[in-house]
Amino acid sequence: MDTKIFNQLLETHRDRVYSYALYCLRDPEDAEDVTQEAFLRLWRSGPDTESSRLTAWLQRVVHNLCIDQTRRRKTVRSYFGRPDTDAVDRLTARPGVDNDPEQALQLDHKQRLLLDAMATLPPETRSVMMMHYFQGLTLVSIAELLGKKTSTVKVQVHRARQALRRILVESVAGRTAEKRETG
Amino acid sequence: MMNDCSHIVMMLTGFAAGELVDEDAEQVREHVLICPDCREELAVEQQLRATLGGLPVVPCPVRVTRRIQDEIEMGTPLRRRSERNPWVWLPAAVGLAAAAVLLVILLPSTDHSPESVAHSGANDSLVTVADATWTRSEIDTARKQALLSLALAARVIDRTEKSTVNDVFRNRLPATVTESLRRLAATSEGGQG
Repeated sequence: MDTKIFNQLLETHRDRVYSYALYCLRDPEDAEDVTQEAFLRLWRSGPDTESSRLTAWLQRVVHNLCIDQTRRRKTVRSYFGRPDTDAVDRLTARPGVDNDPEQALQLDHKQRLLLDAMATLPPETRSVMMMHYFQGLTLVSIAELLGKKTSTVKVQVHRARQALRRILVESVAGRTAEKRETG
Repeated sequence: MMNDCSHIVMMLTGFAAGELVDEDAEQVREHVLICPDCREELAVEQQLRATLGGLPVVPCPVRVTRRIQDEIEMGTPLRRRSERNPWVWLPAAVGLAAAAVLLVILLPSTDHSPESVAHSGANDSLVTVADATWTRSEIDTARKQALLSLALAARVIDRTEKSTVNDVFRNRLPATVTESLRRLAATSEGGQG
């Protein structure tokens, strides 16, 4: 791939790719690894085509890497049990370095609740949700990118919304109550 | 819910995203005016869109960009986390060694009665040491700690280069376990004699 095109893609997409991986995986170091691997794959074997198609190619790679990473983590847990994540954090923490960018973000309560709830969804569904709502891809684009029917993606998103419904309904109710109070 | 609700709810995501053709969008718009269930479902969809769409974009750490560019421009092999923080292997190796030794000693005695274990062969002396010095609840606690250590080590391994894992399992860990068992056997013989 041409270095100039690659650097442009890196510059344009690295923050979104990293954020997407971070929200899908909820682990900054896993997100770093996925981001690195995705761009290196783009460099090594990205198709020789126009920029928009390369963006879709990159998104598909990141989607697959996030799913692989989630499955690897799940396999380890199924064999060895759920690790003491606090101990892992202590073990891997580096003094003086903020090791959790997600914690450093000013996410509101609802966003945190929703991200926590999304962690219970299947990895592919979670990734599709982030592609649509966070990355702004249309349902048709997601279907094309994943080689699926648009109706399949619609059903996937609909089911995820049902799964997340309780949290969302509470927040709709809260907003309505706020309006009443202020009105 | 009304009859065509199942059809409408499948269009709500596309409607809220502005992806529907005019005819479909109009159908949804008219339906939600008369159907409270679908109106609520649309509100939920809009909440979901606002919440996830409002997530901030997190800047990719500079070190990630630097590593990618190093790899591309100079062919420098990509460093993974274990190499960036090599010291994480010290507690991992110690944890693994401790866990392996504890499991070797304790697992047989939790699966069998003391009588059968006492006649179970090669591990007799070790099991006798365990049974004589620890209560069953202490053994169970130690076993849980050992499994936890293994889980912890597994998480670290999961994030580590294959060559480093090979080095630890082929060289460092066997040496540590062998030495621990040798010392334990010596202590056991001294105590019994």
